[in-house]
Amino acid sequence: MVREGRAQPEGREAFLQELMTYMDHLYRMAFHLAKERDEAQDIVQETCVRALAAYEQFTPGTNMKAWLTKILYNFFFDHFHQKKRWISVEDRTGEGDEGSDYWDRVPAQNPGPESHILLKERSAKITDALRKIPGEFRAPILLVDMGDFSYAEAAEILSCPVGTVRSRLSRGRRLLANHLKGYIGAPEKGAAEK
Amino acid sequence: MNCEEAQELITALIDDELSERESASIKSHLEQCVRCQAMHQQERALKAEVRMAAASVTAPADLRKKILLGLGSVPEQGGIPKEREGPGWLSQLALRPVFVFALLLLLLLPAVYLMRPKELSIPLFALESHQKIVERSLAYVAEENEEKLKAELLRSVEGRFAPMGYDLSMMGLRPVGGTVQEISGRKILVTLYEGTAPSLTCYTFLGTEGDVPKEAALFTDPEKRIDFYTFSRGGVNGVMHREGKVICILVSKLPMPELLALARSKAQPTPPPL
Repeated sequence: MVREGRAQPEGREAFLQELMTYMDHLYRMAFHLAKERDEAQDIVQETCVRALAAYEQFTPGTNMKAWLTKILYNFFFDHFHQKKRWISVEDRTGEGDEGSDYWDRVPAQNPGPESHILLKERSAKITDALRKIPGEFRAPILLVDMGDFSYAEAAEILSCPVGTVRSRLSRGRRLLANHLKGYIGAPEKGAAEK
Repeated sequence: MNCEEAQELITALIDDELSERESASIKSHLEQCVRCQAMHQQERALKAEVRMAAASVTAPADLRKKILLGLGSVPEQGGIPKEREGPGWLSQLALRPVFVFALLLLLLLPAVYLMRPKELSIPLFALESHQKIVERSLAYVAEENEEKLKAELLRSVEGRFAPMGYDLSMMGLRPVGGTVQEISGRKILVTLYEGTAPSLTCYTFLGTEGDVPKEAALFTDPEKRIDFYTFSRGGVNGVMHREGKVICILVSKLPMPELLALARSKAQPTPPPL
């Protein structure tokens, strides 16, 4: 189920303390899912409320980070995403396919000055590019590349098969590379668009 | 295998998610296909960029405070709340009588106060985050070229200060990557050293003696005239010293005497050039 064991929380206070250590991770996930910063904060707050309310359901010794992330994604999809999280098994591979879901309404430009942004220029480019790719391809990138989750963990969080994570991740990275042409070292002409 | 079939395998190869058979298959294809080699290199670079970008997004300090306050209003028993109309958390609070909220704040202030040092203390953060960095569970960028890593970290703080870099090859340790963290608006450069000895992280940030944790023990090196502060938590040791305006904390599971000796041998009485 999860590969990483952690210190076993003893009671609500210990659980809360460990939960707080994942705040940056949770906010990072929400920041790249949400339309704006306030929305990201709402998602994180609600995730924490739900997690603490259900802390007795958490199995000590399993991966709290994955458990919290699953709560965050479930909340996000329940409240902000009106359609099924995985539209079909087939990848939508059309160039410029922006999807027809929640992310269509996300502004493509950087949401504004972000006080915590380090490496501003590069981070802004990545953030902009991520916002331009459809959510079903973005989610595996967020989980695997930003969250350091294994494919199996990402699949569990997204409630989909591991093979779907792999194919969407591959496609997502290619879409991302297309949006970062000239910024990330480009492969031989035509390879990224294939 | 054609190039289209290779793409998913290239992705999984980068993430170390292939079976031995798949790995051998894609490596064989890469040896023969220049285009897929380029795709492989590009995707690796892309993953590194995304990881670096991840490090730049951290939770706002006020969000942590809001959450600590808000969590006190959650009943201790019960499962995950039922569906609500949107986020709901703030609006629910807003509907309650003001005096109830004020009372709640008063009740929670001690808990918030107790949690506060954890947020603000960089040395404590260093001890707690060390293992997470070793496990790569914090945003982390792999870069074994010491100069490139230093340049990357230096750039992340717009050249205001450089990460303290040490040659630990005598201990069998070498730099393998780093990360940039932020605590209360202060940026911290972290370099991870790995090898045959227990992993070591080096935290560099701008600070003063005021950053010394209360529980730290003081050791003054009479020759270098540098004060070293030692502190521990959960089997993880930290040694902190200051070079001008720059503070360095070495963190490791190495025994404290060894870690202190290491810090003493590497510390310089004057700050390194930026």
